[in-house]
Amino acid sequence: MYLYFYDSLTNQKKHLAELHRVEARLLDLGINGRIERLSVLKNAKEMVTDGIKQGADTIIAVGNDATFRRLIPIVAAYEVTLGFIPIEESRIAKILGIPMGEHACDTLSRRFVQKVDLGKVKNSYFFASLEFPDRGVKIECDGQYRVIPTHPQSTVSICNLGSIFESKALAASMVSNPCDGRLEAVMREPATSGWRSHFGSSRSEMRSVFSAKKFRVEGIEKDSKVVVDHDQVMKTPLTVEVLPQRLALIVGKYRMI
Amino acid sequence: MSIFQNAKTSANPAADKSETIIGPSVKVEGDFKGESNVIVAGCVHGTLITTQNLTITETAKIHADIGGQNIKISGEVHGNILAKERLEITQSAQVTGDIEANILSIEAGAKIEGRCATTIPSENESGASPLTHPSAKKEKELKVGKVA
Repeated sequence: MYLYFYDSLTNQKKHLAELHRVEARLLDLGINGRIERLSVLKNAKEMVTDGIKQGADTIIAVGNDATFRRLIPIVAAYEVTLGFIPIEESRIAKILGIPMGEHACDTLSRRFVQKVDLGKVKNSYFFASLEFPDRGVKIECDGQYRVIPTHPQSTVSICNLGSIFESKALAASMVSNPCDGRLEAVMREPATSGWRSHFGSSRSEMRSVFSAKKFRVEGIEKDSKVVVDHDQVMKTPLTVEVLPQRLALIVGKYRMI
Repeated sequence: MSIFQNAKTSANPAADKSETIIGPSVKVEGDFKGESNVIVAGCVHGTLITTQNLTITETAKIHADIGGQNIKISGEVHGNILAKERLEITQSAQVTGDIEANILSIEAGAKIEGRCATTIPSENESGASPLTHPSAKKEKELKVGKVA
């Protein structure tokens, strides 16, 4: 059984026509199902878990990237398949090879399922990356060695897929393979600094990459902020580990993973 | 879109290769044991062993025993080196420690201090002619200073 999770943005008038087309197409394809609409009075977790308890085995996020991100920690705890119907510009949809709006219904009906890894941090899950906006963290990889960035402007992230929600080109932001059973700690040193940046120095961005199954992250001097999938905020110290093949996703023919 | 394009287009550059990069602004402490290609441009203290290729660039400073399939050294290494296949030491390299490799290449200008041994696989292991793979183990001592 399909459960369609409509984000609150689907209540906007500009999306109504597209949603009508989506619903008609789902009916034509015979994959229509129960619809749950998020509102200020409803809790996303309760809506989805109730649906799963009542027999839903495929959860479809209808909305944008934030909708998809919101569902990942919820569905990761269950043996269900996650699909996506983007009704706004979406980076995740491009990665999964899912077209916009009603065309996504055809991708769903073909039901090509790919299992991907998820990252786990403190009882929460992430699909793309953890970002450490504060400087000064040290990372222990698989309990074997410690990595310490020495450049004061270094930015640190732990990626299952990459920092895909940043403004840079999508292919360049995907630094990790989400199907390899490993996470990557990525440290970037800014491409130019000081007076060089004013003269358009062509030095490329310096990057360090460490692959491991488990990371322990600590702030060097004080607790640092951690942003989980561009959404949730946590504090160090924390342990990050990979859950291989944890999430079943419906993907399209032209997926990037 | 081209009709000759593969059905599964893998646009993820990370999907096809796995590589560890230790950049110039990173310090690594402890025992690094990997199964991917490793490029080192920063500092390493401890041990650094991979089953694949290891490249040590000019900016690297390593105080560790290192090991790999093929190793190319252009930076500073203080520790023993074991290359299962080929060890290439370039002009800018500074090595302090014992070296062991199957095939050894040292460029003029490289600085080496330590014992140096080339271990050749036996005939039945490689199947090659004795001319190309002598059965004896060559070993030679190199003194401190530049290799001419």
